[in-house]
Amino acid sequence: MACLSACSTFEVSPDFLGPAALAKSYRFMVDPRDQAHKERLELLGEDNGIWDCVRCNFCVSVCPKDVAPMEQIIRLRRLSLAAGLSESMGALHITQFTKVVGQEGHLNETRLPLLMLLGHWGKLFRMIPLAIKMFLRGKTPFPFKRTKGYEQVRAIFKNRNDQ
Amino acid sequence: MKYAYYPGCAAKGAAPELHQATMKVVERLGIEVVELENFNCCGAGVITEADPDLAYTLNAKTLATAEAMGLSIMTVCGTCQGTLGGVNKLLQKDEALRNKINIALKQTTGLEYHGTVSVKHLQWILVKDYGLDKLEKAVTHPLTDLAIAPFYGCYILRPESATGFDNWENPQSLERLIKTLGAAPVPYEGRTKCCGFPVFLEKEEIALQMVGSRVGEAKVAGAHAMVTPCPLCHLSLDIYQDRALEKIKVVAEDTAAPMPILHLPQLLGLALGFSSEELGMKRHFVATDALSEKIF
Repeated sequence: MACLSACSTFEVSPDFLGPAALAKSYRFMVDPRDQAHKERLELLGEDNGIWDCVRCNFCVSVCPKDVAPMEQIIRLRRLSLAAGLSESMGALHITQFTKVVGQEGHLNETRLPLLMLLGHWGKLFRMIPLAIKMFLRGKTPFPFKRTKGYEQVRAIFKNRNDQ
Repeated sequence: MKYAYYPGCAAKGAAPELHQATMKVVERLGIEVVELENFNCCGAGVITEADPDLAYTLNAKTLATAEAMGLSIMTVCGTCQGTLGGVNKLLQKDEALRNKINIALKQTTGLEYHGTVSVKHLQWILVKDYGLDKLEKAVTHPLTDLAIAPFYGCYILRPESATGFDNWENPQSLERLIKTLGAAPVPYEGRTKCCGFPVFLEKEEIALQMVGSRVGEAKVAGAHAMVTPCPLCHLSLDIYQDRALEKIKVVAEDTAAPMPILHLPQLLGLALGFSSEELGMKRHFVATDALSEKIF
């Protein structure tokens, strides 16, 4: 299959389910006869599943049938969040990234990992040397300055949440 | 030649040297830029995963701001280019979507986007708008002894519907820029592949394998340095390179030295005579001293 051959994740992680299988899973998810929604999403959320996709778009570009597998993987991720499966690191990346931008206008790259790794103490601890090195090289702006347009960004988020 | 400059989060955050080098280069080349000081995040494809309409509205705000200024947008980040440029193409093509997004945009910011703006990465501006002949004349320090591995990354190439400048399968604009600066572009397999950045926090092993593969391939091909138009690729290949070294299985011991990673404006800046300090290269994790010595 063109998409699997072109998949960036599959190249380095051969146990990855891959774009074709995941796109097929999405078809089951939107089939009204299907009853295994949450169970399937839980399985797909495990290692080698939907959160291993790096969104490189290769599968979309090479697909001869315009299946756009990566788009279906993104839909599976969205369904997972909607089903309350929000504790995985992949899910936290989306929710916390969106939260930070909604509050500050642009991405605070120091706050995002802290929010994502809160409670994952081992992983957070292992990041400390990198964080110190980045700080010393001026790669973690301190204090973080919001952009001038952050109030408009907050208004856009509020408007969206109210809908 | 005047553009609304959209710096993106990385150039104002974890990769300030990109902004620094960009300012030096555009000023020297006579490209006038007006920085969008009230810029917001493009969402980097992540906010689209949560809520596409929200991401479209955020990008429509940027587009409408530049439209009101009567300017096209210049980006310096491959990811911003793919995201902001992709939303722009979508809003230009789909009038119904644009009208829907404009309702939210107008309610919250008073702005409205009519679909008249172009979004161009500095890489594209130099090749097409500025011109390589003119760029060649501005070069004061040709990089004649350097072999440079171009690293495009994903979002400046794919999906083609969002980008459309280079051929995504065999892009050439970085190679042409490298040649114009006097250096030799190095062909290698991974130049259009992923750097691993999008999954670093959640799937570190996958990301490190990707960094190791990209750097390893460039080393084997004989590159002195890699150059990228995306600061997220730069972060990935630079700050995680030491941890990815053990993943570089294809490299012989004599090529085990770290690989300097340059932002595109830094490579341009070197050929225009700026020092590595002026281009913020001291902020990199992988030292660039040996590279600078080859030039000056």
